[in-house]
Amino acid sequence: MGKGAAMNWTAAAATAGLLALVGCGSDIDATADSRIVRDYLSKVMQSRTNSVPQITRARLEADALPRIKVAIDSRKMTAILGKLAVNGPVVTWVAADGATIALRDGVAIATRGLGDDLMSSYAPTANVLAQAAGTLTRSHYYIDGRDKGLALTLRCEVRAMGDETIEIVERSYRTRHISESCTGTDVAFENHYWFEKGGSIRRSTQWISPEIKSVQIDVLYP
Amino acid sequence: MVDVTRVCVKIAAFGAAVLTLTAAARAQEFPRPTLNLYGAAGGIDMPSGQPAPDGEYSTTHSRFAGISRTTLSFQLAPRLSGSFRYTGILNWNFGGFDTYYDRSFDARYQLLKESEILPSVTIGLQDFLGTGLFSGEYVAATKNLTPKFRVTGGIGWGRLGSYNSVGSPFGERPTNNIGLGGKANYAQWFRGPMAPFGGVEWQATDKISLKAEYSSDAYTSETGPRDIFIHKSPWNFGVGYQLSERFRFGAYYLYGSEVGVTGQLLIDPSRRPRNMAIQGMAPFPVAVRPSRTAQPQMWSQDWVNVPGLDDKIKAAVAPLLAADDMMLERLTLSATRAELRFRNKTFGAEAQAIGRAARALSRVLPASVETFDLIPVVKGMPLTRVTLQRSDLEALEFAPQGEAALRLRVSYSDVGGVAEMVSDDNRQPLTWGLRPFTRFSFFDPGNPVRMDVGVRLSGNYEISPNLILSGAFAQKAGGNLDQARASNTVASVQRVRSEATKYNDNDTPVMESMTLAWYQHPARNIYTRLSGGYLERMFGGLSGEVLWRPIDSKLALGAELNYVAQRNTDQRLGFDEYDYRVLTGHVSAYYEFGEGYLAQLDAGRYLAGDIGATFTLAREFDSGWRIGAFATLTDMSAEDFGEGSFDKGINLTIPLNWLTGYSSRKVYSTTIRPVTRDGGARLAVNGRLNALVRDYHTKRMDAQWERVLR
Repeated sequence: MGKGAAMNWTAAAATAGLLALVGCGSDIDATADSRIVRDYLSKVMQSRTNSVPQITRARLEADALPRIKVAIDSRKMTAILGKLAVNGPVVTWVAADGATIALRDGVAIATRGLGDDLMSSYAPTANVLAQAAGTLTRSHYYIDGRDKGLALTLRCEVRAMGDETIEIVERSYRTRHISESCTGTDVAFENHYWFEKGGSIRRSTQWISPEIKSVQIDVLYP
Repeated sequence: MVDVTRVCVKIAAFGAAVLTLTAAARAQEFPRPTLNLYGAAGGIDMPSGQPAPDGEYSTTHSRFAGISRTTLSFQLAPRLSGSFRYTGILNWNFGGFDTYYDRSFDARYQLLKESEILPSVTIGLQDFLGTGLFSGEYVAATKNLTPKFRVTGGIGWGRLGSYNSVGSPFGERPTNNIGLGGKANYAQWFRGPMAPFGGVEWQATDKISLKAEYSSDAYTSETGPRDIFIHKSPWNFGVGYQLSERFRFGAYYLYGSEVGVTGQLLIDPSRRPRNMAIQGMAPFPVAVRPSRTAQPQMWSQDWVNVPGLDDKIKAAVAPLLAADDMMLERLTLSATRAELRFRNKTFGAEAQAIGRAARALSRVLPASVETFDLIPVVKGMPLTRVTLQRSDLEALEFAPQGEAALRLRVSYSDVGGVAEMVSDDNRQPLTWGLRPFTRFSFFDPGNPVRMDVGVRLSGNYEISPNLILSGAFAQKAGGNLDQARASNTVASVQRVRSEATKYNDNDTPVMESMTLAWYQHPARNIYTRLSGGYLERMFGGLSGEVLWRPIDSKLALGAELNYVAQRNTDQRLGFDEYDYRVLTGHVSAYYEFGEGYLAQLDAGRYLAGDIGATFTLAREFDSGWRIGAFATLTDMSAEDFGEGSFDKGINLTIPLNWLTGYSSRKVYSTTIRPVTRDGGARLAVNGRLNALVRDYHTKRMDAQWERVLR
């Protein structure tokens, strides 16, 4: 019997593998698991082959389209994003893989399609940050494992760090560096913003969620 | 001899004291218990007084001395838990069994919650339904003295009172008339010799715990003439190792002579596994309309009069839905209102589908359309009208906790009684799938797992959205389901489900089903289904069903009537092999108590012609996970039913979405029965209404509402 049982499990494992790969057809209900496994595998393959996109100033000028670069350290991923939609002061940027990040005057307020997404947030405006006016509060909202809202409330200290010159794709920018260091229950992080003279954020590193952690956002064009 | 009266008085006094103190006790969090070799909260081989965390589902496999136990345990409510166990004993050499397999059930109830002063106290029944070979009852108390050290003491009866008993306070234990098994052996409970047991557990590090216990189980049957092992000592020692949140292992030195091991899988169905975030593509953002004052011409309603514009709009909405594998069924437009009927084949969280559909409309519709009626359609039945204002969607897309604010501005209503579905051209009438399949049989009397593998071709042809022809053909590639033990039968009982082995014994292609089904939502709260053809692997015929289910009701009522004939075992077209026809059907009541507790009562006539009722109690989590237990009592006598006396089992439903984080409506469901017999057998027709309809009603829609803006 022992042998029979062992054979069953080997067969079961083999079949599971088979199921994952060979299911086909137009009926979504019947083939959902095969699709998911294939999606997942292609994602894994993609992330392995992901390299930093090579982009030049000349190319940006020629395209003349709004572009940002987002680097997610925790995933070892970098992507160039284009403008997808505008809702008042909020711009939604989209990457080639379909993930989006919503920036309100450059401050990240939501993400979608990244996994541990920032669903919504109560975040300081770029103006408030630029003033480096001391203490403020922030709330981040997530969906927890129970499909219920999870709020992360943070107290943040905003400080001016002085003038800095940064370079983004062959161009130098004179900026004011502002830091925002936040602490909440079980979490602490630092955001950094590099403001240009007109008050717009040229570069930032902003904390998104416990799993994604901080992302760096460079405004490439305009 | 212990004075029974005195013992009773003492217990009563203790109980009273306990109750008084409980009220005063402050609610407090204590470390979770670990599981014993029986897969119940406990020490090594003995139970403890603590319950598992509410809702926890665990699978435990343990082995020692040729005894293997596989246990599924579920903490059904904070105080109530149950287990189903499959035990195998090598070299039992009794009654023709070489390796003896037995199935048993446990039930446990926590009498007293732990407080700063008082222990957690649990009363438990072990193997209270089966053959009684492992039967024992106990009352156990456990106290966490420090966060790292706990101590348990208890008294046991039956098997748990067999070593060094201190008397029989409640009288002799009557001999259990095992008979066919499956009956509650309540005459034995807490009778016969009683013995104390106890143990300690020390959480040495985060991952490692050490246990020692004094067992009150003498293993009389195993150590006697059968000589499976030698009981040299009542002391057991062991070490437990928590590999991860979900896996735990243990190794033990048992009864002074044996080494035992256990592996445990612990699942909290209420939560997606840690690090399993919601995957899937980002939604299209809301397209915000231009300001009315700045661009009044954009808000003009003249578009209504432009011929052919409806079709163009439809043609623009459909691909946005299709990007999420959703389907536009019908779009009806007026100057200020749009009604979208659509099919969601993607999102396990129904609210997420609503959110996607709303955003798709926002990207296409003229600015003057302010109100969206979103109607998810299943099998042509419009299930709920979700009405939301486009301006709310625009304003709340990026608002902090926008989804909660949006929910307050959304209304649900019934769509019943609306004219017949009009089908759109972009419907894809034929869908098909070709994929391997597995068919399992768990815990049959001769083998823990039996399985067939093969290939299944399935297809649906929609004559109209609510009139669907579907079929499934299968070709077995191999397996051992056809070797399942043929069960003994009674000549007077029609063999229905006990014939499964024969239906599995086909090396040529079989037609599993071929049906035409017609669905309707003809009036408010009323849904109907009529199916005909080869309804399932073993039966074909006609099946009709009516369901009354208001969208926000706790109660739903249904009635089903079927006239079916038993199919030939080769599963081709014929019905002559058995020449058996039966009128079968049920009236059903479905009730939701809240907190995810669901009850269902089905009363009627079963496939073998027996009359009775099935009671199902389930716990459902917001994620869609569901665990239930059912029992069917009919006028078929226990003798006619055979082994197990009556039909009972466990249902388990796990959404693929929960397992992977990816959007999918697929669920894996399984029913585990100790024995499958002919009494209390129901027709397995596809597309029963309650499950189809309920998903889009208020309760389930709100269960995962948080995902509406995902």
